[in-house]
Amino acid sequence: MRVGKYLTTILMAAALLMLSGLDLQAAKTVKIGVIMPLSGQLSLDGTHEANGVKMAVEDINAQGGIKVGGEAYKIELLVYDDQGIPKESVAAMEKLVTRDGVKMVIGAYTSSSTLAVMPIAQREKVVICSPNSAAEKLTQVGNKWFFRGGVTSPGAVRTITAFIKSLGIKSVVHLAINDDYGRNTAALNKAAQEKIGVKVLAQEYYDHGTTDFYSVLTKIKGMKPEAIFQVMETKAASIYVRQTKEIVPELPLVDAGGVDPYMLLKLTPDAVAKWQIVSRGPALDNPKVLPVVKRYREKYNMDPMSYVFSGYDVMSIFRIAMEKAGTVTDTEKIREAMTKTNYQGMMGHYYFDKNNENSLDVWVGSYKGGKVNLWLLKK
Amino acid sequence: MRYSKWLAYLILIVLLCCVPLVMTNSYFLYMAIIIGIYIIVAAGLNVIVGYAGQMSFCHAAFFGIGAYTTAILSTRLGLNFWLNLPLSMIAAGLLAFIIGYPSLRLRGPYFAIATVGCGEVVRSVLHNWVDLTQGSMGISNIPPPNPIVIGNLFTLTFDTRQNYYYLVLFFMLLTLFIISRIIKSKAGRAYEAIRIDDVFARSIGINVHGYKMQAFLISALFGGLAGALYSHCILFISPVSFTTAESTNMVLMVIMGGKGTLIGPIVGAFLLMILPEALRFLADYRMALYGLLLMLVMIFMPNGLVGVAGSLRALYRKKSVTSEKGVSHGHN
Amino acid sequence: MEVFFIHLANGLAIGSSYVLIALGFTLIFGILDIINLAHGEIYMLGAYCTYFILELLGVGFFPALILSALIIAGVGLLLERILFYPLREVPLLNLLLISIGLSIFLQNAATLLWTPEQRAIQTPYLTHTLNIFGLAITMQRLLIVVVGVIVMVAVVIFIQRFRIGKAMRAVSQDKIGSAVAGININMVRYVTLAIGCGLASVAGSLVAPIYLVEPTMGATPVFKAFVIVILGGMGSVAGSIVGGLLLGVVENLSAAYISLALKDTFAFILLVLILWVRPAGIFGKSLE
Repeated sequence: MRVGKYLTTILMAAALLMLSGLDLQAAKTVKIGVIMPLSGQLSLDGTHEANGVKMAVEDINAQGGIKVGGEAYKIELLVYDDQGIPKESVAAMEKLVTRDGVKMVIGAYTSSSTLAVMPIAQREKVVICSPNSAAEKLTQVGNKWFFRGGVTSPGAVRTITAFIKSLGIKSVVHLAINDDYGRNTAALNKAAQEKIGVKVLAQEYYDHGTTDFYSVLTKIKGMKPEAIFQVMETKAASIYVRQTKEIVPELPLVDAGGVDPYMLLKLTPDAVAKWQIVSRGPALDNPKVLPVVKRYREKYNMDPMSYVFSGYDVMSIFRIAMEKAGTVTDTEKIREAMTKTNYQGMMGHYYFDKNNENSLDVWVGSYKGGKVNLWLLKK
Repeated sequence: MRYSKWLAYLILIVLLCCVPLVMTNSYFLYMAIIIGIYIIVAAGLNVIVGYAGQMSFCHAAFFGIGAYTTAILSTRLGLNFWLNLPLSMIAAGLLAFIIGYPSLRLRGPYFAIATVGCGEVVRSVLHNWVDLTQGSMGISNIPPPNPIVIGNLFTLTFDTRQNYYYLVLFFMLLTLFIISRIIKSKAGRAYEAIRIDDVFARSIGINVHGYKMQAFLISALFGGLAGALYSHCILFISPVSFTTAESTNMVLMVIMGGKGTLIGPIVGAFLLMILPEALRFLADYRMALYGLLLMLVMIFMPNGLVGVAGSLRALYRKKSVTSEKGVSHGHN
Repeated sequence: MEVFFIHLANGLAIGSSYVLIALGFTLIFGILDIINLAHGEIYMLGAYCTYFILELLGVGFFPALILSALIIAGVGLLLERILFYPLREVPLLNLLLISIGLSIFLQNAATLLWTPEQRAIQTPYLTHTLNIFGLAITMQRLLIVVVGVIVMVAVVIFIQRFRIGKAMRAVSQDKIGSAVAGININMVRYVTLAIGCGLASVAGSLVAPIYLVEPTMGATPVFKAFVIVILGGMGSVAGSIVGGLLLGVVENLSAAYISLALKDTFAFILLVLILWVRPAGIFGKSLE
């Protein structure tokens, strides 16, 4: 018993000492920070996004690093897990910015976490870009240090609504995840749908971690809509879609862009016939992304989610901004350069308006022929 | 004897006041502020869990009600922080009364589960009553506390980490002082009696239900206070910060530090806040190791870290007594 | 009105899966006085075990389920030997917190070993859908109910008729008395943990084809199991069965008639109300 006590005490003391952090810095590096959920319910998406950034860093470093002022700076990437909890995101941000001396941050994942860390970016004059946080609010609070790197909810809504129109659907029921993303997206889509004359019969919300949709599907069946509109993440969708086959096999299911179509196909190939794809990322066999896809498959033994491309693109944008600004330390100049971004990435064409908002779009598609077919909707 | 104790406390307080002057790094100050807030949480929770011995797993609800009350009042109605603070505490206290009155008749794990149920209902209200709380989108742009202005001489603003540290320090010391007074009073002794054997306590005339309610209320008041301080520090709150998992963390702080002691919650809060940060270097392995460490501490130090200190001290005393008086082993 | 019965049936179906995981939990709780919050991770390990057996050995679903139940029962024996037996004198709250630490460790270890990616288990039962009085139900879901009922009956018979089962009941009522009567408490402990973990594994394996396998899949079910056990009365097998089915039905009816987002809330409100009115749970002995 005593040995155990002493051992545990020593372990604790060691852990506390680690907090002071040993700062072994090689010459000529620039630190970039990443804040993502790597554990907990959102770990799947967060891990993919962080991996995307890591791959970009590998590529940049392989070419010598960031070339500025006649010198080449290798990137040292610091990836911190925030578990998807705003309080942890703030701690991670504070550490990155004030202890680790990071000047540019990629993150966070959820809009709540991103909102929580944005004031720190402003206070410390650090450039921050989230590759996927979708809430409109982010670019409306007047924080010019934040740039949005992923498709916005309003942007996606336009395409989704046109898609629904093209499918000839006249009435829907919404089923959305009960968090900021779900509620926000459902509200925006409802307004847009009603504007073009589509009746929204009801809006139902489910909590994270729900696995049983039988009750709500039975309820929806009774309402007799022409289609169900889902605002979901892949994790829930893969479970949900099988249940729809049981209860409402005849209804088309329209996605809102939160589900990875490849993962859905892999997990439930027999239940996706009615799924109308809306994808935030391009097809995996699109020539623009094929090299990254191949490397990802080799390295991680799984298909990349679109978050990988977003992470990669944002890191690339950071590199270009630093090189255009001619500095890795003067953040005012880098921020200036960011506003002038004009980059053709894997996810689309990146450029920012006066609120640092982008105009990326989503792909739409279907599962005909047992595989994923994606295309850009002509509007 | 008493003077040296007060002197020691005074020196400690002075040292604590000097911290922001030495550690100007914002990350450290942020951690210090958060630790201070959670010390208030743990010290309050200790009253019901450590002293009165009731397993309460809804403390995050009081913390959350405190946080939301002040957030809503300051962002929607523009009310002054100094008015919101007591209101937050009162709101938390009211909730404690509603939860506690029927639940405290239950014992042991039944009380625990009842608190979990109530805590979840509160969280659900925060999450789903979107008109009031903005649901999962949270409340942002919470203003820092209103400055204290004394005429034209002196203005103390709270929009810097340094000054916020002092604010939290003040309330933390106040909390610890008040709780130590309560524990040393007749009520404190009643709590201990209830913890040791509540049936017996009732049989000798102690109003068990009444004292349990009192302890529960006190813990809730301080939980609400901490919540309000939290709101105005992070400046953005959402329901994900007030789950049963959070409540469990708070109980862990009390137990790992050492329940039923005054220093215990301080050590526990410090530890559970610092540990995940300190383990960041472990990257992917961090949370797995965190779980393992939790187990090890609970297994080898069941009385918490303060208990370890106590037993080490006893060990030392026994040795010195033996050497001084030359008494053989076997005498104690 | 017909729809009401469909909702009821859905509730009983999900309730059956709850009962399976609650049974193991309540046996361990009632007999060993251990609130093991890592029980959800045992459930998760059972699902992963079945998944890997199916992948690597290519056997049928039922053989895989039984094999993995045996393996996980072995894990239960291991846990008893290295963790619960040495800590048998520790107070309840500390054990609870230790089990929380174990749960965090196992969840994260699983994430590290097997990635957060979901895994699908294909069974022939998933594709057959039956139509019973307007209720569409796949064979897999029906299987959960059928196996659930078989298991429930088996457990009840076991503790009523078999010697070890009776010994388990005796220990749950009075440890010291049982020891005096000559019952080998240690053996009972081992058997209880083996059966409890085995049941969790069966539960995990049965639902895995529907709910997919991933490292955090045990977090919510164990929570529900805890609620059910309290609802039904600690250590009461009948209580777990009634409680599990009741919870499933209440959840489903709330989701159907009030709101899906609030279904857990109503379940909790029910729980709290029952506790306030009848503190020992539905089948528990009154404490006053």
